[in-house]
Formats: sequence, structure tokens, C-alpha cells
Amino acid sequence: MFIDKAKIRNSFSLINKIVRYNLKIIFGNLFIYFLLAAFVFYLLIGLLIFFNSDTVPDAATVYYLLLFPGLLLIFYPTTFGIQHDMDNRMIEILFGIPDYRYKVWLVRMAIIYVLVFALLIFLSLLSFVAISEFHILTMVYQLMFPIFFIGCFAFMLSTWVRNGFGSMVILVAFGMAFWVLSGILRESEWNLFLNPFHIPEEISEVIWADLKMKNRLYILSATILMLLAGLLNLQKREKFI
Amino acid sequence: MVFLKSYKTRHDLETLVWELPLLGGLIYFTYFYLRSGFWMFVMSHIVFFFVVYLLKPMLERWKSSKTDKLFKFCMWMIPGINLFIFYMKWDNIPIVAFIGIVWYLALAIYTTSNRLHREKIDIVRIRGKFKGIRKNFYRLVQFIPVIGRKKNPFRALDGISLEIGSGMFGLLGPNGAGKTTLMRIICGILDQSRGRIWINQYNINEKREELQGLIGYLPQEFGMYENMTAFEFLNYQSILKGLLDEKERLERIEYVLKAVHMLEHQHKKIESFSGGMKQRVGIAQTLLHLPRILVVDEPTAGLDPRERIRFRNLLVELARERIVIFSTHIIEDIASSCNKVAVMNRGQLRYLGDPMNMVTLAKDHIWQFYIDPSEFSETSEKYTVIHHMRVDEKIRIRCLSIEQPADDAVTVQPTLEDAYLWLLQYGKKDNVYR
Repeated sequence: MFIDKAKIRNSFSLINKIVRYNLKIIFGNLFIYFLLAAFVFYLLIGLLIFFNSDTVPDAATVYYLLLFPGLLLIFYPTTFGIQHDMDNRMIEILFGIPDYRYKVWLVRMAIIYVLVFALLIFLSLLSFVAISEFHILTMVYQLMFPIFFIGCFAFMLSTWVRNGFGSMVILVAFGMAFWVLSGILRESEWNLFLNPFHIPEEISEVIWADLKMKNRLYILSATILMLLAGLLNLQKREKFI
Repeated sequence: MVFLKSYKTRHDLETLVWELPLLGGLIYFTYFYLRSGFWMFVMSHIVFFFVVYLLKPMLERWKSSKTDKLFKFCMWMIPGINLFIFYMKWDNIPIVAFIGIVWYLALAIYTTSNRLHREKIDIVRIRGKFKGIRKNFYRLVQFIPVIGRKKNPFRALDGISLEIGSGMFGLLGPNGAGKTTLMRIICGILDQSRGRIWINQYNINEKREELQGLIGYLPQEFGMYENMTAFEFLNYQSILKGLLDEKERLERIEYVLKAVHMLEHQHKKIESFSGGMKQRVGIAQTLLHLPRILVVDEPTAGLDPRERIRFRNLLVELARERIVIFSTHIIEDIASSCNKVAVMNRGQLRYLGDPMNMVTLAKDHIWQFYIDPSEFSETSEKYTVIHHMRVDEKIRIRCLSIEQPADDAVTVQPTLEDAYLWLLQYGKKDNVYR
């Protein structure tokens, strides 16, 4: 089979450029502080667990330990992404690009998620070495569901509110509501922050597996809908200029 | 409430193919599948908003008293049906009553806001029974975001009809004349509510995305990612514009940087550039996909005279191979570069034609005379003073007037600036000079 090496090289170079430039845009503002905050938060809580826990920490503990840094990482670029483009007065230029919704914002969202995924792999590795043994990929895979949900929710809000701080306030309010609800909903498929590693004693394994799958399916469906809603909102260009 | 939909063409109705089954699925899921009262409550709101989202644009498209009644019926009845279902499922009257009060209060605010807006009610002038309560309620309604507060739409453009050929085309007009709106519509950034724009026999409304490839647009207030170099920024933009082959892309970037005389600065960060240099990078960005039409909105505003002249010359250079439409309120820019000019005021076209012919419009209407300093305020109130200068004990006035303003007033040769002011003051929509 003939492989066009030049084409492959061109594709790699293109992906490299897209990722590099998008990272420059994402890191162009306060994202670096959120990245640092995520690490500091992880280290603090990790140390607390390591030294103070009465019981041996397990995968369920690590899940909650990694969830907050993950949410912190996704929070800034998705909430303030549009605001950042508006502040840079780039929005009108971007609106002049055919299929800008996908080429600009969908690509940027994908890169943010890949970045968060990679950072979570790194933090999971640290946790694996320092705290408890668990399957790293399964852990990150499970963590990505609520992170994906909150990221797309923030993105959708930012396209509605069109103001980073406004979106942030609404997102924090909703985040707190989700957190309070998770205490009420506990082992329900509707719980956004359901810990898939915390197997309840009173539920059989088959029911638990079914419940987990339903939970992840609902989260994924809602996330995709919110992502589409956000992209649809971006179509109404006059609202942004 | 924000409605994103509109049914202007048959194509707009195509989305109903998946929206109606989705609505059916939502209704089944909410009222028949869900067991949890809480989620039924949440989803019932989504069902309501989805019904309104689908119905409202349909009723606006086929507006009549019957469709209005149908919409009102749906608006007020769906919450009622929901409340009844909640009562049957929950058997908790206080909670259902509370939800009902909140729902119907929100509906009352929304419909009152619509009425205030539709009937253009001036709250201060309200008279009659309970005027105090009504005034306060209306004020409260206008204060509530999303469902209460509304912006008044205005007509930014009114009956503009232009045919633009190759070369430099200047759009001249004061702030708020509608130049930016017109340019945004041409470039497909804004959707016009009425009228059509044709580019090469294609309607811009129907082929919006496809025609983007023909147009390069530089907005009035634009910026760039300043932590990038000029090369990186242009490279990123060219990828977005579909230049995926690396060799072709690099050649194109070099070509556009040469065209705007910025090749030697390509690896410097944008944040280190002057205003003029940033404008040139902006123009380079619009040229990346080799557009046949270049639209630049007030590109010379804020530049120092040397940068302005350099930038203007660049546009003239680019206009040799394409149509360049540029807007300005600096008359000198038009005089020294445009083959054709359109003067706009308050959304209307006041002149379309050669800039040199425009000067003749003000012929015999530009006067020069001398007055005492004490008469100045009276004169400036009476006539449009273009400029004045102290000459010994007197003030020399140059003004616009249909009739002779003073006995010693003499007509003088008009300039483009005089003609522009004359058009703004006396030019009429139905009296376009072509």
C-alpha cells in the first residue's frame, strides 16, 4: 500500500500548529493560575489524606481528590473563553471565518479536554505512587464525565450570558446546587458527582453496574446537548458584537 | 425571552424534522417515564420552553388573531396542566401552590413587559385608577432581567441601494450613520431583517458561508492575540481559513506580509507593534484567502498622519486587483483615494458617485463674510459655520446657507468637506445624487 509521507508529515505539522496556537490562546490569560491552583489544591488535600486518614485511602478517596483539581482546570477556559476573545476584540474577525463554530471553539474545547485528561493522568500517577493503587486509565476516564459535563455547561452559559464573570457566578451557583443535590441523591443515577468507585454495601453489584452506566449515559447525553446548544448560540453573531 | 429561530425560508422549517420527534420524546420522558417528582418538575419546564421555542416563530411567520390566541392559550395553559399533574403525583397542595404562584407571576411579568414594549407605554405619564401601583409594577417589570427588560429595536439602515464595482469605494458618514452595520451585513456578520445583497449573482443570505471565501473583513475595533508573533497569528488564521497545505500556507503568509510591508517584523510579538503596524497585520489577515472584496471599517481612525497616509496608500495598492470598500469619517481619505463614494446619514444614502462631482453639490451655498465678535453666537446659531478665524478686529466666517446670509457675503469655491456638510444638512433620501 502506498503511503504519502509528505501528506502525513503535513497533517502532523498541521495538528502540531493547531494545538500550539490554541494552547497559546488558552494560556494567554489567567489559565496558568488555575493550573497552579489545581496543583496546590491537589497537593494540600493529598498530604492531608496521606498523613491524617484513619482508614487506608482507596480509589473512591482518590476520585474525590482528583475531581476538584479537574473541575478547576476546566473551569477557566470554558467559562472565560468567549470573554477572552471579546476582550481581545477577536470575535468579529473569528465570525468572518467559514464554520468558525467548529474550527475555533469546538477545536479549542477538544484541546482543553485533552489537556485536562493529560494533567489528570499525571496527577493520577502521583496518587498511584503516593496514596493508593488503582487503575489509572479507568480513574481518569470516570473523572472525565463530570468534568466534561461542567465544562460544556460553562461553555453553554458563556454563550448565553456573554460575560465571563456573569457565567462564573451562575456556574458556581449551579455547582453548589449540584453538590448539595449529590448529598440528597446519593446513589442515584441522577447524581452528577456519583463516585463510581464507592460501591454501596446495600446495593448488589449488578444493580450498581447498571446504575453507574445509566448515570454516565445521562451525563454524556446532557453534555452533548449543552455543547450543541453552546455552538448553536454562537451562530447568533449579532448578540456578541 | 430569547428566540433563536425564525421561519423565513422553507429551509428554516427543515429543523422541525428532528425537533418535533424530540418534543414527543421529551413529553413521553417527562410525564410517562420519569418516576422522580423532582426531575419531572425540572423536565416539565424544559418541555414548556421547548414548546414556546417552536411555536413562537411559527406564529410570527403566520401571524393572525387565531394564532395569537393559540400562543396565549399554550403559554397560560401548559403551566396549569403541569400544576395539575404535580398535584396528582405529589399530593402536596402547598408546594404546588407555591410553584403555581411563581410560574404565573413570571408569566405576568413577561406579558406585561411585552405590552409595555408593544404599546410603547410611557410609565411616567400613566393616569387613571391605581396609577401608583401600576407605575411601580411596570417599573419592577422593566427592572427584571431576561423576562422583563427589553431593548428598543431601531432602524439602522433605511432603503440603501448600492452597486459597487471594482476599485476603491468609500463610505462616508458621521458616527451612527449606519456604515458599520452596512459593512457587517455585506460581510455576513449581521443578518439583515429586510432587503437583499447580491455578490456575483449569489444572495448573501442563502450562501453566507460560501461567500465568506470571497470577502475579507477588517472590523473597526479589532484586536489580535497579542502574545503571538505576526507570523504565528497569520499562520493560525490561515489554517482556520482552510489553507491546510504547509507549503502553500507559508508562501501565502509571505505574500500577504510583503503586501502590507511587514515581512521584516514577522517574528516580533504583536504586543510590541504600533497602531499602524497592527492595522497592517489586520489587513494581512484579511488577504490570506485572496478575497475579491476587501471590507475595512474605519481603518485610519486613531492613526497618526504619517501612518494614515501609508495605510491609505496600501489600500489603493490593494484596490488594483480587487474591490476595496472602506468606511471613514475623514473626508481627506476619500478625496485622495476613492473612485466612488457613498455618503450616509441616519441610515440613509445621501450621495453616491464620484467624489469630485460631490463638490459641485455645494456650489453657490458656501459663503464667506466678516462679522463683529459680538455677533458670533447669533450667527453660529443661525447658520452652519464650517470654520471661522479672527482677522484683526473682525471674525471671518465660512458657512453653509441656501440664501445669502449677509449683505457683504460672497460665495466661495466649495471643498469636499463643505459638500459633505451640505449633504448632511440638506441632502434628502429621495434626492440621491448619482
